[in-house]
Amino acid sequence: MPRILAQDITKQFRSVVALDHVSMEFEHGKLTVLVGPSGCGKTTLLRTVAGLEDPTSGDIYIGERRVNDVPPWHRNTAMVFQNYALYPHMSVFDNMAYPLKARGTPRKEIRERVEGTARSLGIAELLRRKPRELSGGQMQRVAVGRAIVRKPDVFLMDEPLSNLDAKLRVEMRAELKRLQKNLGVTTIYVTHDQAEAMTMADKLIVMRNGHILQAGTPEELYLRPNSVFVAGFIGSPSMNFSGCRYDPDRGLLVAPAFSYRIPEQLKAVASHSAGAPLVLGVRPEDVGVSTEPQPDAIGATVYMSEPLGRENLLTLEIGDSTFKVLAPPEILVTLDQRVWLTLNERRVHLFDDATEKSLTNTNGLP
Amino acid sequence: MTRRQRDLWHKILSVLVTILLAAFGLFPLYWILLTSFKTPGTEFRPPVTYWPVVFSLEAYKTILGPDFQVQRAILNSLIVSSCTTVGTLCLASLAAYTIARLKFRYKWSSLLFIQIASMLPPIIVIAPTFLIIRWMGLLGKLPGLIIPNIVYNIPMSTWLVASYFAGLPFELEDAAKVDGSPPLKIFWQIMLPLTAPGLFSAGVIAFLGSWGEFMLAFTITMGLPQVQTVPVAILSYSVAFMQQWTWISAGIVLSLIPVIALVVIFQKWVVRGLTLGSAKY
Repeated sequence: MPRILAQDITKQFRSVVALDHVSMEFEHGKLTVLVGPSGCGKTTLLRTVAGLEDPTSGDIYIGERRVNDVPPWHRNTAMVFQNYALYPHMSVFDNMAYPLKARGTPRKEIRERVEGTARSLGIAELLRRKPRELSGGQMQRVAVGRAIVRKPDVFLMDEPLSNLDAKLRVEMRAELKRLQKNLGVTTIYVTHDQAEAMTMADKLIVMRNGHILQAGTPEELYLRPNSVFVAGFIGSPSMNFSGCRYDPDRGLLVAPAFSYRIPEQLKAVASHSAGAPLVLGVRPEDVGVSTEPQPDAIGATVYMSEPLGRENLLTLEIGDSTFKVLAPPEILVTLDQRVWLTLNERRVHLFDDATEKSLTNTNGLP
Repeated sequence: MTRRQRDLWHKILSVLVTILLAAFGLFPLYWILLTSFKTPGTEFRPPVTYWPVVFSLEAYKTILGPDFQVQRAILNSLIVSSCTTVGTLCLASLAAYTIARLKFRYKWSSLLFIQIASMLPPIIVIAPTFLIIRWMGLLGKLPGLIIPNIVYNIPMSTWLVASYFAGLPFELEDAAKVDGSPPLKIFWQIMLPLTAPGLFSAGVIAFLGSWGEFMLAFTITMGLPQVQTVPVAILSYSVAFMQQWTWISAGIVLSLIPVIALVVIFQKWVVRGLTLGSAKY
C-alpha cells in the first residue's frame, strides 16, 4: 500500500483559493484525518487526491507515481461520500460489484468478492435490495463495502459518518477504524468533527483557509497546539483563552480581570514579548477549583454548573470573560458562588496575540 | 352543513367535473369508433343514434384492401415515429447531459438558443425544410421525414431531459469516476437509467408529435402513396372520394391502436423505473 504525497498543491476556484501551497505526506497504511471548519480546503485536498479536482499547481504522487495526469478512473482509489452516493437504480449487489465490473473482473470472482465483503460487513442479507430500501446505517455499510471490495491503493472518506445519528456514528467510528487497521490501506479521512478526528486519527491534520496549520498525532495536537486556532478547535469543551500582557517586574501575566503569577518555565518565552499583547490558554480540565480562597488563585463567580456524571462542567465568570472548567463532582457549588481557580502550570499555553502562534508548544510540556 | 357532508359534496362535485371533462374529450373518439362500424352512406342517416345500430366491418375491409392499404401507411408512420424517437432521444440526451452536467461557458444560454429555434411556427420553416430535403435528395423518402422530425423534437426533449440530469447529485458521477468508469460509461450506466422518466416523457412527445405531424409529411411525401404516413393517407380518402367518413374513421381507429399500445407498454416499464430508481438523495 503506497503512501500519498501532495507537493505544493494550490487549487483556485475563480477568485477563491481553496488550497494554498499545501504539502503533506500521507503515510503508508496509516489513517490520516483532515479536520477543519467548512471551507478550509480539506475536501478539496481529498478530491484532488482522487483526481476529481485538478490542482492549479503542484503534484500528487500515489506511491512513486505522479498522478496529476491520471484520470480518476485509472487511479486505484476508493471513496466514501457523505451522502453515500449509491447508485439508486442498482441493487446492493450491483452497487458493490460496480467497481469490479468497471475493471473487467470475471463474473465468478465478482460474486465471490461481493458476497465475502457483504458478509464481513453484516449486509449479506441486503444484497438484493435497492438503496432506497435501506436505513442510513445500512447505506453507509454498502458505501464502505463498495469501497473495500476491490482492494484499492487508497481509501478516501469524505465525512462518511456525518449523516448518521449520534449513537450509530460512534459505533461506526470504531468499526471503520478497526476495518482500516485490518486492511492496512492508506486512508485519508475528512471530517469537521474534532471528536471524530481525535478518536480515529493515526495522524491528525488541522486545516484552515487552505493552509495546513498543524499536523501530528492527536496527542501532540491536544497537548502542544501550535496556534490559538488549533488549541481552540481540538478538544471539547474547548480551551479557555484570555488576552493578557506580561509584566516582567512583578512576574505577572496581567489580564483585564485578573493577574496570574507566571510559571517559571514560561518566563523565558514571555520576557521576549514583554508588554506585547499575549493570549493565555488553559484547558477546562487543567484548572483546579476551590471554594476557599487560595494564595495566587484567580477569583471567579459560578455562572452555571452542569453535572456530567463523572465530572461537573462549570461555567465561571472572571470579570467580563467566561471560563469553562471541568471539576470533580465532590466540589459542590451553587450559582453565583465565589470560587478560586488554580491553573496547572505545566499545561498553561501562551500565544502571541498578533500572529496567533504558540510561544509554549516547544516548551517541554508532557 | 357538517364537515362530513361538505367533504361528500366536494367528492361528488369533483367526480362530476371529471366525468364531464372526460366525456368532452372522449366523445369524439367514441363517435369515430361508432362511425367506423357503419356502412358507407349510413353515417348521415337520421335519426341520430349514440349507440351502434348497424355493425359492419366493410370500412375496415376497404381501407385495408388493395386500393388503400392503410396498413402500409401505419407501417410508414411506425418507421418514421420510431426512428424520430430514437434519434431525438440519442441526440437530446447527449446535448442535455452536456448542458446540465459539464462545465463550460454559456451553457444555459446555449439551451436558450436551442429553444429559440423551436419557437418559429412550422409554416415558416416548411419551405426551407423542403428545399434542404430536396437538396439532400430525400424528397419522397422516409429519411426525408425522419430527419426534420428529429430536428423539430430536439429542443423540447433537450429541455426536458436536461432538467432531469440537473436534478441528479454530482456525487453519483464522482463515485462512478472513482469506481473506475470513464465519462461515456457513466453516461450510459448511471446517468441515463436515472433519467428514464424524463426520457420516457420526451420519447412520448417525440413519438406522438411525429405520428400526428401533417404539414411536413404532406409536403415531403409528394403524394406518393408508398411513403405516406397515416395523417396524409387519411386525408387522401377524403379528397379522392368526397369525405368517406366511415373510411376516415376506420383509418383513425387503426392508427390509434399502435400508439395506445406503445404508451401502455412503456408506461408500465417507466413507472417501475420511477419507483425503483429515484431514491431520495
